Amino acid sequence: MPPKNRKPRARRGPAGRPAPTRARIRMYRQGLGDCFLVTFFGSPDRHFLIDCGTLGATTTGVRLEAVIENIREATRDHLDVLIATHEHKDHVSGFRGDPPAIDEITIDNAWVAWTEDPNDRLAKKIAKHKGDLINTIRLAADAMGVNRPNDPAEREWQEVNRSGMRELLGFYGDLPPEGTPIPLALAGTVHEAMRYVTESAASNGRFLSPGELIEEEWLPGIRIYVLGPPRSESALRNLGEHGSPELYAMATQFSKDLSACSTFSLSPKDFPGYRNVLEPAERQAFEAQLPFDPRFRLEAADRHQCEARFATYFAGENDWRRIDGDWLSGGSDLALQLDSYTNNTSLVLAFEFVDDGRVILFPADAQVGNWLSWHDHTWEIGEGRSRRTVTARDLLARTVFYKVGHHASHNATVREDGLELMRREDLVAMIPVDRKVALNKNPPWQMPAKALYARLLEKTRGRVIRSDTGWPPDADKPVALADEEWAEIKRASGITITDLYIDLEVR
Amino acid sequence: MIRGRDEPLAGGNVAPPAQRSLRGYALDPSLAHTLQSAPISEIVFRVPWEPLEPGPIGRYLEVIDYDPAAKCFYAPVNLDDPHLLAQDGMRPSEGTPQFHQQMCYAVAQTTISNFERALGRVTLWSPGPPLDAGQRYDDSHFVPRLRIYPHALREANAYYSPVKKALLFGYFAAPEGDQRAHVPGGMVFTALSHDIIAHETAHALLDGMHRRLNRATNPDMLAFHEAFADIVALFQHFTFPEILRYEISNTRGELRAQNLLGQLASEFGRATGNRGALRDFIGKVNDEGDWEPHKPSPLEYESTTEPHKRGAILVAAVFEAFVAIYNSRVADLMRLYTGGTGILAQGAVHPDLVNRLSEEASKAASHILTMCVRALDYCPPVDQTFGEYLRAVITADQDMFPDDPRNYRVAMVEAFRRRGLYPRDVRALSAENLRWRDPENDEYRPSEKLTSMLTMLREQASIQLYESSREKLFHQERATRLVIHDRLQDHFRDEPEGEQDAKFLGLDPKSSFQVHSVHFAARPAPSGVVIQLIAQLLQERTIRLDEKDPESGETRFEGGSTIIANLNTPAITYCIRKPVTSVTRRQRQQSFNLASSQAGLRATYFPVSDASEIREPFALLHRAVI
Repeated sequence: MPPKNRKPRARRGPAGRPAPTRARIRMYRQGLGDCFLVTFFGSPDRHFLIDCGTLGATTTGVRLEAVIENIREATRDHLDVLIATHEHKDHVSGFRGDPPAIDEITIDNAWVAWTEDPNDRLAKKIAKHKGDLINTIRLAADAMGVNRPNDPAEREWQEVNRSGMRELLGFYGDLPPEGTPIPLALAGTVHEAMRYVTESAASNGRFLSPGELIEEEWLPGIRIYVLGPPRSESALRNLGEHGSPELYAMATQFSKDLSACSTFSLSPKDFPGYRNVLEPAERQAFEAQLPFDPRFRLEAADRHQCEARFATYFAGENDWRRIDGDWLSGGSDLALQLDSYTNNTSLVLAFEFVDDGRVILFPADAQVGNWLSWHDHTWEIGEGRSRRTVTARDLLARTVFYKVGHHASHNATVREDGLELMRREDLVAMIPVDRKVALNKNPPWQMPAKALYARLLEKTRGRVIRSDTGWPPDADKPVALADEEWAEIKRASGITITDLYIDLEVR
Repeated sequence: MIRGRDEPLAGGNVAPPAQRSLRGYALDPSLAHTLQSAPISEIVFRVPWEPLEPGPIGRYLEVIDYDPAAKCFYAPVNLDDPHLLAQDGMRPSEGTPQFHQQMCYAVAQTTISNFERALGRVTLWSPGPPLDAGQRYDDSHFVPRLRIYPHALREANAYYSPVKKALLFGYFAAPEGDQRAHVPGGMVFTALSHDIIAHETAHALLDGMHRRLNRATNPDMLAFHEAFADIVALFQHFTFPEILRYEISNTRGELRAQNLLGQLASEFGRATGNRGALRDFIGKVNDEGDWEPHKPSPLEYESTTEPHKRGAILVAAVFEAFVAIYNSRVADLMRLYTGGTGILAQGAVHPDLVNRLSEEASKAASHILTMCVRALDYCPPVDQTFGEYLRAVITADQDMFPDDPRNYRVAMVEAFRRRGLYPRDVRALSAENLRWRDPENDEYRPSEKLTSMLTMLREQASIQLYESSREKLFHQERATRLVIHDRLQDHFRDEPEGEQDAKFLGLDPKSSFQVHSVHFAARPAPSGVVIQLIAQLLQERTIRLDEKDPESGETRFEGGSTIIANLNTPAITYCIRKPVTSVTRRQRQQSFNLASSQAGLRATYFPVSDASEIREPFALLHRAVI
C-alpha cells in the first residue's frame, strides 16, 4: 500500500480497497496512427473504438490484423460505437477492405463528424475543396519531376519540396513508386474507408456537430460532449478573424490555376498540339487562363529560336538565375493547407464521468482553428435546481486523459487556450506515434515535437506514454522526483504495457 | 534643301537627353477602370537616359520575359525604337506583354534612381554565388544587372530572390467580385502594380547594401526588410505631383483622412491580398463609415512576430512622422488661406493652394525617404533591431542637418515611441540620447595609431569617388577591403594597441575577421565637403542551435561593427558595435531560432533547423498561407 502523501493517490473505494476500474483506455501499438478502444465497465461493458489506422509500424512491428483480432476478442465481436474522426490514412486505413476485417464485429452505432454528411452543403464544399487540393498537389509534385532545375543547389531544394509534398499525399492513399505519376484516384483509399464507416458499418449512424451533448440510456453515468469540428470556413482554415471570402477565393483560384498549368506542363505536347486534343469546353477553360492572346507566344519548345533570342537566359554560367521550377514551389504551401484543413475536420469528443466530473479528451488531429472554436460553445446540463452551463474551459480543467493530437506535432496542441488549461495533477497523456516512421519520411517529420513533448512531461509529471516506446526514459523523468518515487508512480499509475497495446485503467 | 532620310540631324551630333520618358500606370490598372480616377490612372515615369537593348536591358536591369507555367517567352520590347521614343514608350495596355516589360523597367529604374539620390552615391547589387564553388566566402562575383521576370509565377505573389538576384512577378485570375481586373475573372498582373515593383526593387537595393540583413537572427530582421521596402515604395508614390494634386484637392488638404493617398498607405500592396496588416495599423473605416486612424500601442510590437505585421508597425510609425511633418509644413499656408480660422470654405479648394500643398507633401515625402535611406549607412552590420534603426535615422539626419528647425527628428522619435519601437539600452528617448555615441562618450576609445590609419585610405577614396563604372567600383571596393583587412590584421597581431583597438571595433583579435564592406561618400558639411568612410567589419563563430541539446546542429553567430569615419580630420565618428563575444546576444539568437524553427505546420513536415539559412526567405514570406 503506497504511503498516503504520495501523488497521485490511488483511488480508494469503500473499506480502503482499490476502487473498481470504471473505464479502460487501450492504445494499440500499430505505429504512426490512432487506434483506441475505450471501454466503460458496467453491465454490460460498453465499447467505443476511436479510429483504426496506420502509416507503418517500424518500431513495434504490430500489424493491423493483430489489432483487429484483439478488438474482436476484447469486445466479443460487439462494438457499441465506431468512431472515425477524419479522413486520413493513419486514422481509417483499418476500415479498408472488401469487406474490411472489422466487418465481422457487430457494430451498433457509427459516429462521424458533420463534415462527412453527404447531404450537408458546407460539408460538400469542404469535400470538394479537399479534392481539388489533392488533385493540384499530385499534379504539381509530378510536374516538379519534369521541371528539374539545372543548378544543383536549386535542384536539391526542389527535390525536398517535391518529396515533402508526396509524403503529405501519403495521408490519403498508397503512393505509387517514384517515377510513376500519382493517380487522381489516390484519395479513393480514405474515401472508401470513411464510406464504409458511414454507410455499412453500423445499424445506426450519426453525423455529429459541435455543441451537441450525448447522454444515452445505454451508457449511464457518462456524458459525451462534441467540441469540434467547427462549422466555420475561417476556423477550418486556421484564419480566425482574418478569414474572408476574398482570401478563400484566391486560394481556390491558385489551386485551379496551378493544376491547369501543371497538367499542361506534364503533357509532352506543345501548345498547339495540347490545345487541339482538349474538348471544346476544356479548351475554352484552358485558353481563358492564358495571360495573353496566343499570338504573343514564343514557344519554349522551339529551343533553337529561344536559345538564339534569349541567349542570356540559356547561357550555362547563368543557370543559377533560371526560374524553370519556381512557379511550382507554391505547391508545398498547398500541401500544408490541405493537411491542416483535413486535420481541422477532426471530430473532437470529451467523455465525462457525471459523478466526479473527470474528463477523457480525444481531439483526434485538431489544429488551432478547431481547438479555439471549442470555446464558442456551451452545454446545458442537469435539471431544475442543478442546471448549469459547462464550457470548454471547464472540461479542459477536469481533463485526466489527453490523447495527444497529431502524433504530438507542434501545431496540434494549442497551448494557452488548450494545454495550459488542463490543471489536473493526475493528468495522463498518450501519444500514438512511431518516431522511426516519422524520421524516415523525406524530409523527416518532426513527431513528437521536442518542445511540446517537454511541456507534456511537465504537465503530467512524467506520465506521457508513447505507443512506440512506452514510458519516457528515466532521463526524462521529472527532475524533482527521485528514482524510487518515479518507479512508484509508474507502478501505481494503472498503466499496463504489452507488445500489442498499452492500457490505462481509470478507477 | 530637302534632307535625305539618312542624313544626320542639322547641326551634327545631338547630346543624349538627361531622361527618358515612359508611360505607365500610376498605381495599377484598376484606377483606369473607373471614370472618377481615370484622369490620374496613368503617369509618365522619367528615368535616366541610357541606351537600351531589347528586353529592355540597361546598365542596372535586364528584363527577361519567360513564362514557365505557360511554356513560352514573350518577345522583348525595344524601347530605343524611334516610334516608341517619340511617344514616351508604349501605351499602357494590360493585354500586351511588351508593355509589362516597359512598366517593370520604368518603375524599377525610378526606384533605383530615387534611392541613389537619397543615398548620395551609386548602388550595387549583392554579389552572385562564388565563382569557385568551394569557396564559401568568395564574393568577387560582380552582378551588373538585376533580372526581372514579369511573368515568372502563376500566383498572387511577387518576390525578390537573393539567390538569383532577380525579381519574380506573378499573375493570377481575379476572383469574382474583385475589382482590380478589367473583366471579372480577368487576369491581374503584379508586374503592373507600381507599389509591388517598387517594393521588390527596394528589397534588392537593401540586399545590395546590407547582405546580412536577410539572415533572420531576431524577430525584427525580416520585418525590417519588408518595412523598408514598403517605405521606399510608399514614399515614392508621394513624389508624383499629378497624384498628389488630385488627392489633395479631393480631401481638401487633409492627408490623413480617407483618400487615395491614405488608401495607398492603407491598402498598400493590396494586389496580393496579404497586406491587411498595414491597413490595420494605419487606420480603417469604422462601423459608422468614417475613416479613423489607428491608435498605436506599444503592446502590438511586443506581441506581433509575423514579419509583415511586425514590419507594418514600423511603416505606420514612419507614415505618422510624415503626416506630422506635412501638417507642420502647411500650417502657415492654411492659416493664410483661411484667414486664421483654419476652416476651409465650402466648395473646391483653390488650385493654387492645391499646388502648394502638393509641393509640400512631395517635399516632405522626399525628405522622409532620404532620412530613411541615409540611415542605412549608420546601421550595425548584423542582427539589427527597429530600435537601432531609429538610432541610425536620428544620427544620420543629425550629421546631415545639425539644426532641425522643422523638428523632423522629434516627429520621428515621437512616432516610434508611441509604438514602443525604441532601443532597449537607451535611457531617455530624446534625439540627443538616441544618437550613436561618438568616441568621446563611448566606453572604448580608438588608439592614435588606428585613427592615423585613416589617412592611408585617402587615395582609395579619391579613386572610388571618381569612378563611374559600377563594375570597376565593385572591384576597387574589394581591393580596399583587402588593404584594410591586412593592415588591421597586422595591427592586432603585432602592435601594442592592437588588442584595445580590437575591443573598440567589437572584434576578437585572435580570430579571423572580414572587412565585409567599404564605401566612401562625400557629404556636405558646414565647413565644405567631408569625405566619409563607411566600413563594416564582421566576425563569426559557430554555435549550437540549442545549448541544452548536443545533437541540435550548428549555426553561425556573427558580430562586428560599422565604422563611420571622417577622412578629412581624420577621426572615427561612430563605431556601432555588435561584439561577437556577447553572451546575451548569442542567447537571444538561439532562442529566436529555436522558436522560429518550430513554429508552424511547415516546421513539422519541411523542417529547417536553422531559420537564418532559408533559401528563399522572401518567397515564403510573400505567400498568402491559409
